[in-house]
Amino acid sequence: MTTRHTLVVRLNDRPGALYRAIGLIRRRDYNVSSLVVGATDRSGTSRMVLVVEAVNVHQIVQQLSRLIDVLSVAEVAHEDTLFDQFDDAMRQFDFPVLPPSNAQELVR
Amino acid sequence: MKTPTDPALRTGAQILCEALVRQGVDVIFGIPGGAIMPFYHALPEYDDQLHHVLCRHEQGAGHAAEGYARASGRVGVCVATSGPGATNLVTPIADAWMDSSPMVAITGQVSSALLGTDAFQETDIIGITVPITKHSYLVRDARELPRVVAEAFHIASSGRPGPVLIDITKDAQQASVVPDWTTTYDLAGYDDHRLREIDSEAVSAAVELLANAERPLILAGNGVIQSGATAELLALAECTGIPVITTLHGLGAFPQDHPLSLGMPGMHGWVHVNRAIQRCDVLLNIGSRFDDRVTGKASTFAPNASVIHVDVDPSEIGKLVAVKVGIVGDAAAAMRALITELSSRMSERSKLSSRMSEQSERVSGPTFVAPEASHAAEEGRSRHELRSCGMTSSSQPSCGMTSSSQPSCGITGLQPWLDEVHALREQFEPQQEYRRRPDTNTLQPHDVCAALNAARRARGNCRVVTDVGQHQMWTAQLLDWQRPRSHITSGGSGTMGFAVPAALGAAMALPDETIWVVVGDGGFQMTNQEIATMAQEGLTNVKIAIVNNGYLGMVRQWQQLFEGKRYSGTPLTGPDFAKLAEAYGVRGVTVDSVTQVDSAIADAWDYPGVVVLDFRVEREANVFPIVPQGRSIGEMMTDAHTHAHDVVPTGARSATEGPALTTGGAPR
Repeated sequence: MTTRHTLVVRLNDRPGALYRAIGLIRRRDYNVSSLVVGATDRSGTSRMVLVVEAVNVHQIVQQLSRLIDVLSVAEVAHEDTLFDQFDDAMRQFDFPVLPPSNAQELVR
Repeated sequence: MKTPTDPALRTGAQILCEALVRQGVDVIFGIPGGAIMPFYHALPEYDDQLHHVLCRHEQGAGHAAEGYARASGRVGVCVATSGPGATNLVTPIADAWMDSSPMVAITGQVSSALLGTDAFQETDIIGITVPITKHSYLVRDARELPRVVAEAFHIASSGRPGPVLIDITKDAQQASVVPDWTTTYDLAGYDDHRLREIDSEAVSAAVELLANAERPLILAGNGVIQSGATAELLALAECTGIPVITTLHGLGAFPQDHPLSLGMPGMHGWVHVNRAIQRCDVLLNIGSRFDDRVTGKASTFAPNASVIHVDVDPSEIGKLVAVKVGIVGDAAAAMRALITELSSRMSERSKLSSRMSEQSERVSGPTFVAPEASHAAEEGRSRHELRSCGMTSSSQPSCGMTSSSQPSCGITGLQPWLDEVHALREQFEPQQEYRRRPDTNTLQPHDVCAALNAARRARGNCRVVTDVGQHQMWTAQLLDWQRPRSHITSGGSGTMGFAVPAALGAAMALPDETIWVVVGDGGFQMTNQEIATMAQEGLTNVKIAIVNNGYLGMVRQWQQLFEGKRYSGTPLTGPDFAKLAEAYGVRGVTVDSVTQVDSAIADAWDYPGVVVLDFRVEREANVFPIVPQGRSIGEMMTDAHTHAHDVVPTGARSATEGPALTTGGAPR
């Protein structure tokens, strides 16, 4: 049975760090249902907050901690509101569907 | 401002070479190509320090680096170009990942400006290898190289070792910069758990379990060998009197001629070992990760045991088997802590019980074999020191004690358990398949292993590299493993084609030792082109024994036992291997009778060159015992007459009802 877990991961702000962390979750065929990544006030460090639907979240936490680019991992109480607010904030990026671009535009 | 003529200027390729030399690398295995050409251009300048072995396939280069690492304990290095060169390294990288072998893989990459454009021979090798590397680096700036190479070697060899990939763009190799060798690691997110202080509370809890155990058992794995902790394991076993079982990768971590050594557990382990696991009440796992080939159906594994798990990787603890006590850290340090705690506890106990004299109250803790001695023993130089550590009797713990007046950490009341284990061994050992050799002149695979073991005993030690399949299990079962790093195989990944190139790497690491390869005819045909590499290198210390049965034998065995002899895709032909060997410029000999085996092995050993022995063995011999996939290790088939559907649930039938089938322990 999968359950929803909210993880807070501090990681190095480098190319590939996010890919490694998310790939580890994909390996188990777990779904990441929400994801926010942003800079922290410490330079070179970013923070990732994600909701994962997992059978064994303990193993995910342990294996995330093992990654060289991961500085810390914590599971926090699941707060739907956090991601509700996030969804609201993201709505400003909803655009009407654009017509398919043609080759001429691409050449320009 | 640096001018182009600044004498301190170096190309990225030169910096990479120098960085490798600074890490103590002496041999690298690789194949050049477009994107790694600048590195190869620089290489001749460092010829006297960095020896490049030109392999015939990048997979061979990768396995050679693994063999080098496993034989020597140092980091193995392989080099390939971008695209297909890099993707050919994927299999050995995965193999090194599964077996925790320290490896640094260096790949060329297309120039920075071309990244992501589907340029010629561009492959996202970092993306491909993310799940099978401990870490990886894409280097686009030559100035990063001193730090990146130092970090890569540190990560590969520390903590739980593993493969690290360095992907370097061609322009970074060509750029001229002034290297800064003073840069330090930037590894805030990396914990080397070897250095972690052993948690004293966990040690106390473990000792509490051990001291009150009636049927304790030590399970020793690769971690003991990687940690160089064989002396500590011997001390712990002898001090406590607890019997020891060793996994496939733990073979050699504990001398198998020791009275406390029981043998190998698992799918093809001995019946008495699996029975002991199912009976034990405390299982102390040191540096093994409860692989499914060891545990069988994990939920029925060691059903009566409180498990103590010592591992350098915290994510392994509790991953597959529920653990009562987890101890994170280096195996040697953990065992030293256990011995100290056990002996102080036992001396407290004896003081209380016998109200001993003042003299014994001043007793200090035991002294231990220093880590240096442990590593020396590993290199095989101080076998006598190891021996002197009290091998006389399992009931007389003496190792690590300064004198006989020192406290013992012996656990009282173990004799009934040792008697039980002994009785299990007496009961099941005579039933082992190889002891019932068919009355035929046909060469049996067991004959080859027995002859190799006898020759090794007579001549002193050698390293044995095996491939994957039936011959791998026969070799693991039938040779006596005494020394760490004497048994090298592909365990976790089960990579056919591993053995020949891994032996090349081991032979480069240990030029003064004889490296025996035992390989099937299937695996041999996957990577035998590396014999050409051995010939080019002028190697003389590799001897290859092909256990040739004309099948992909392990799959055929499963098809025989579990799929009604439907031999789909398993019958296999091959060239005349002796002629093939001669074509490579090495000696080849065909052996098809029992009477020739001993002399063929002796001649190969004495011959000053690489030898390929093609042993034409009984085609349908099987590996027994076997635990059918997904079953409890209490359910073993000990011969072919017991079919899988005869296997009954654990505990449902006693061993006395049918000697071919053994059961042990109740399900959890």
